[in-house]
Amino acid sequence: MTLGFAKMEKTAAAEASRFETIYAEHAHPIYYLALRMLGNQARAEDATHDVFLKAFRKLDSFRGQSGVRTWLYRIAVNHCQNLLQSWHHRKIFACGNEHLYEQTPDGADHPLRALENEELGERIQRTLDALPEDYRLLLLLIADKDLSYDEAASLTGQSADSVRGKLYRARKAFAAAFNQTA
Amino acid sequence: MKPHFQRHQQQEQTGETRHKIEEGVREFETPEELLRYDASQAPLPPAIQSRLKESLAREPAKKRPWWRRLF
Repeated sequence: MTLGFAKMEKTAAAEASRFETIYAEHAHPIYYLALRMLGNQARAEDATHDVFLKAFRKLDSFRGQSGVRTWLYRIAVNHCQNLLQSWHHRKIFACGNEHLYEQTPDGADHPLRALENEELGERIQRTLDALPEDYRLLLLLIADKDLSYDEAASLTGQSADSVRGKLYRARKAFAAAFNQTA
Repeated sequence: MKPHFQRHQQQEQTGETRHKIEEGVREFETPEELLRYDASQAPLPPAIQSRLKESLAREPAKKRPWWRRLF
């Protein structure tokens, strides 16, 4: 039995070490996603803490069907969406703006310009807040270079082809909204 | 690329984000590049890790299935 207990301790230590590695590799992108989904640093800190606590509790059931980053994003997206729903922070997308977004040239022709001395983070937040939730989430996920289109598609419940089409519209919407915040 | 801008232009690499700086104006080709730059300017608060460590210390020991206890 002593041997078995030692084995259990060893396993717990190995699990803790594994979790520390997971945190070190993935905490920043999860925090950034929470920051821009929730729009508030303190809430993003709370959400990141809660997401990793949930991940720790579910670590045994993680079978590696997806990448660790994708798994954590799934927990984070669900967590943030639940918070937003409970706070009644859902934004209503004005249909009239869609016409404006459709007329806006895509980002390749008109780069996004921002003064260095302004509060760029606040401007980005206002821009993201003005977008439909699915555009906002898609842009935040695709901005992570470690996430493939297929993984972003899986996280948003769409096909990779749908993601490409929606991403084109999301970029235009972002550019239009960003320029309006200037 | 407008020639009269090139004189003042420099390239900056921030993390994996590449963008141009022209006389105090940053330029990003896509929203993703802008968001990557924004992410690089929003460091992970170290307080989260210490809070998480405290929370994990309070977590009850995980019950393992009998077969994992044996092997």
